[in-house]
Amino acid sequence: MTAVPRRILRVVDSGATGAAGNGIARSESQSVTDLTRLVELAKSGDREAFDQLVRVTHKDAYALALRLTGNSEDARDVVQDSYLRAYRGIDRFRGDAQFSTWLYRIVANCSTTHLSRRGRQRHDTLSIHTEVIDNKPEHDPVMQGDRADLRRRLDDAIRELPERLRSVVVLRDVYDLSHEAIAEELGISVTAAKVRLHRARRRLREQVLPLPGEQQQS
Amino acid sequence: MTGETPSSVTSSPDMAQIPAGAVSGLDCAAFSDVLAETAGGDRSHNSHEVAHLESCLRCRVEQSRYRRLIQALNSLQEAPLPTDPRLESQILMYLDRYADRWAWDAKPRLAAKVAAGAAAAAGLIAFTARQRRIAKLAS
Ligand SMILES: [Zn+2]
Repeated sequence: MTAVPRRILRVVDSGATGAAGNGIARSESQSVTDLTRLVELAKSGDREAFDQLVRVTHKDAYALALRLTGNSEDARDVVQDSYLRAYRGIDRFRGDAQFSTWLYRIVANCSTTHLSRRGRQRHDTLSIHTEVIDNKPEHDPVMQGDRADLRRRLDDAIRELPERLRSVVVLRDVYDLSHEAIAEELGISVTAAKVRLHRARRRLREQVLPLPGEQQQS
Repeated sequence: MTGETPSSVTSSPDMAQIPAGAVSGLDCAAFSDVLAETAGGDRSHNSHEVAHLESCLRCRVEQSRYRRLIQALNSLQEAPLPTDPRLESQILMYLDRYADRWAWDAKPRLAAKVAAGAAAAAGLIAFTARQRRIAKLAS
C-alpha cells in the first residue's frame, strides 16, 4: 500500500477539521490539487488515500443524504453505501468533473435506491437543521439572524416536500447538479426533472416566502 | 437581501387590484409557472414575459420572492448541519467490512457465474446439434 505524502494529509486534515461545517466546499476551494492527488492515489488502489477522502468529504455527503432522505438514520445508511460504491468505482472517475460532483451523484443515486427499497417516506421528528452555527461573527447579527431563520424555515419546508420533488430541488438548487445528471441518477427524464423542480420551487416559495394574500401554511 | 422588493411595494393593499398582465395577455397564474422556471437562471424571459412583468406588480413581487428563495437555496450548502461525530469511523468501519470482502468474494462469484453461463451455452449447442441429427434421421 502506498503511503499518502505527509504534506497532503496535513493540508487536507486542516480542511477536514476546520470550523466550517461542510468539508467539500472548503477543502476544494483551498486545496483542489491535494484532493486531486488523493483521488489519484485512491484510483491506484491506495486505501489510506480513500479513507482520507472520506474524512475530508463525509460531512458534506452526509448533509446531502440528510436533505434527500429527511432523517439521520437513512442518511447514515445512504452515506455508507455511497462511499462503498465510490470505493468500488473510483477507477471509473475520470477527473473531468469535480470529485464532489461525482460523489453527490452517487449519494443521489443511493438515496433514490434506498428510499424506493424502503417503499415509504419517513419523517422523523428530528429536525435536520437544529442549530445553524455562525462561523462568521463579522457578519451583521441581524442579517445573520434573518438569513439563519430563512434557512431554518427552508430546511423545514424542504423536509416536508414529497420525496420526488425534494430530491430534484435539493440536487439542482442546493448542490448545483445539472438537469441531465439529476435525471440520470433519479432514473427519470430531463423533462420530468424540470417539471418536478418548478413544482418544488413553487411550493417552497408559497410556504416560505408567501405573497400578500397567500395563506402561509404552518 | 439583494433583489428583495421594498416593503412599501409588498405591503401595498392595492396590489391585488392591479390589472395583472393587461399588456401581455398572460395571466398571473400561468406566469407563476414561468417565474418558477426562470428563477434559477436556466433561461431568460421572452418579450411577452418581459411585457407582462413590466405591466404587473404582483408578478414583479413574486419574481423578487423567487430570487430570494433561490439565493437562500444556493446558500444552504454552506449552512452546517449537525453530524454525528461517530459517522466518520462508522463509514471507515463499513468500508473495512465490505470493501475488501467484495474483492475476494464478488470476483470468484462472478467467475462462477461466467463458468456456469459457458457450460449452459455449451449444453445448449450440444442439445441443438443432437435435435438436428434426430430430425435429419427422421426425414
Ligand atoms: Zn402577473
